[in-house]
Amino acid sequence: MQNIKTEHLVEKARQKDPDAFTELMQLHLKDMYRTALAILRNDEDAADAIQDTILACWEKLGALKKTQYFKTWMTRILINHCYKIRKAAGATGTLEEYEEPAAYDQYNLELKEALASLDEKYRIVLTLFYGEGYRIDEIARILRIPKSTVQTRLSRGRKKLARDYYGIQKGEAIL
Amino acid sequence: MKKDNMFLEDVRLPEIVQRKADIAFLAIQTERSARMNKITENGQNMETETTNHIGNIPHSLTEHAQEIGTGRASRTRKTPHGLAGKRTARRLIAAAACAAVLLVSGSMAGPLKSVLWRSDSGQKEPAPNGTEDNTALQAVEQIDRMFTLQVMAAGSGEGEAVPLKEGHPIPLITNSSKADSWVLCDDDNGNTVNYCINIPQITCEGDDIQSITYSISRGAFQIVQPTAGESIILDGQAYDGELNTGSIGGHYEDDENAKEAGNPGSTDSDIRPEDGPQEDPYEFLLYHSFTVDYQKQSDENTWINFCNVLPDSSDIVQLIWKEGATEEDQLQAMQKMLDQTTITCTVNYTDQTSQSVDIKVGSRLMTRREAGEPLDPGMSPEELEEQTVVITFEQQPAEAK
Repeated sequence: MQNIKTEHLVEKARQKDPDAFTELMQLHLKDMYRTALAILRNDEDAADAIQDTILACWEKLGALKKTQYFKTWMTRILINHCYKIRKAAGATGTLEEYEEPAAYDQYNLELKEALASLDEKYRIVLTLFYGEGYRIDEIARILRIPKSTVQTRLSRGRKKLARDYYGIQKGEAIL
Repeated sequence: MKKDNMFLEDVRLPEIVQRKADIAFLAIQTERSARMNKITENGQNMETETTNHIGNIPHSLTEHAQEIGTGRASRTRKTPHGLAGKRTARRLIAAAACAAVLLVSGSMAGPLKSVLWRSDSGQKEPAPNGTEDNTALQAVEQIDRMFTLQVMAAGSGEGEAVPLKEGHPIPLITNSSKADSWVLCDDDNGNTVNYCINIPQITCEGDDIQSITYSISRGAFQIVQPTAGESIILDGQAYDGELNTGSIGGHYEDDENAKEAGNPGSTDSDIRPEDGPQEDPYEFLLYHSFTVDYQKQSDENTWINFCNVLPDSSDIVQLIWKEGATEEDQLQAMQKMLDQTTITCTVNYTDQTSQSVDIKVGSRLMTRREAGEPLDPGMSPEELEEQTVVITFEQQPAEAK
C-alpha cells in the first residue's frame, strides 16, 4: 500500500506538483535522516544534506524514468550530498571541530553512540539494510560496490557492533 | 537481529531536520511562483512574492526561520534574539527562501538543462526482482552529472577562476596579459560594428567528462593558436563566412621580455634574408562550434575569442562615438551589440551522455578598481574610481529553453 502511494506521489511530483512532492519527501524524511546520520553523525549536517537532497530531487525528478526506483534514486542523491558536506567540512576545519556535536544535537543519542562504534563502511551498510530495509543487491547498487562486499560488511559490522557497542563477547550472539 | 539493536528502532526526527526540510518545501513552492512571474531578477518583487506565500506556511516555520535560514552560514552566524515582529520575521523567511531558490536554480539545477540519455535503446526490461535492470542505476548516476563553468573574473586577480552562477552576471577580467578587452571598430561607412571579445580561460570542472563543446548563437568563435604544435581544439564546425573583426592574441608573452634582455626572439630583426619567407607563428580560425578535451581545455598560447560583424548598426555607432558619449552610452551600445548572444556549453561524458548549459553574454559598468585594473604609472588613484564597461557571463536557468 505504501509503495502504491509512493508511486502515485512520485508520478504527481514528476508533473511538478509541489504538494505531492512535499508529501512524498515527508514520507521518507526519517529514512533520509537515518542514512544521513550514518555518514555525517550529527543532526545539523544531516539536516543540511536532507535539505539539499529535497531541492535536488525536485529539480531532477523529471529525469527519473521508473517511479518504483524513486527511493533508491533519492538515497543515492542523499549519500552524494552527505559526502559533499563532509568534504566541505573537512576542507574548512579540523576533524575535531567538525565532529564536535552541536548543543541541540540531543536526538537519538543511543543510535549515534552505536554508529560511533562503527567505521563508516559498516554504518552505512547496516543502516540501509536494517534501518531502511534495502536488499543486498539494492545496497550494492546504491553504494556502487559488489554484492559480496555488502555481505562482508554486513557480517563484520554486526560482529563489530556486538563486540564494541553491546559488549558481547565471542561466542555470544545478538543476530 | 535482536530488537535492542539501534538500527531497528524508530528514530525521532530532530527539530532541525524538519525545519530545514520545511524551508526546502517553502523554497520549492516559492520558486514555482517566482519563476512563473519572472521576478527572480527583482529582489524586492521576490521578497514581496515570497512574503505572499508566508500566510500559508505553518506558524512554527515562521518562528524558527530566524534561527536557521537555509544554508551552512546559519551555523556560525546566529540571528540575535529579540527580532520579533512579524515584518522582520517575514523578511528573514523571504531571504531564506530566496537563498534556497538560488540553491535550486544555481548550484544544482543549472547544469542540468538538457540531459540527453543516448543509451536508452540498449536498456533491458527489468527482471522481476529488479536486479538485472540498470535504469535505477542510470537515474541514480544523474546526480553525479554536475559540472561547473569558470572564467577569470574581474577583480579577482590574474590567477583566480570564478564559477558561473545563475542570476549572477560575472564580469570578465580586463586589461590582463591573457584576457584582453574587446576590439570594437567602425567601418568607413559609419554604420557597421565589428567586435572581438576574449573569453578569459573558460574551463569546466566535473566528473567523468570526456570533452566540452562550445557553440555561439551569434557570430563565431575565433581561435588564435600557434601553427606549430598540438591544438587544444579536438573538433569544430568551421564558420564559413568572413569576419573582419580584428583579433585578440597571437603573441608570446615572452617577446617583450626577450627584447629587453637583448634577445630579439621572434621579432622582425631576427629574420635573415637567407631564411626565406617567415611563416606566421599563429593561425586564426573561425568556428561556429568547437570541442576541447577535458584534460586540456586551455593553453597558454591559445586565445579563444568570440567575434561578430553587425551591419546597419548606426545606432550603436552613434552611442559609442557621438560627441560627449558617456559610460552609460557605451554600456547601452554594448548591450545592443551583445543582445541575444549566448554561448552554449555542452559537456560530453565518458558514457556518451551529455548536458548543456547556456551562458548569456552581457555587460555592465564597474569602476576600474572593482574591475581589478592596476594603477598604471601616470594614472591618478581617482582614475581607478572611473567607470568602465565590462563584459559579463551569466549562467542561464534550466527553464531558459
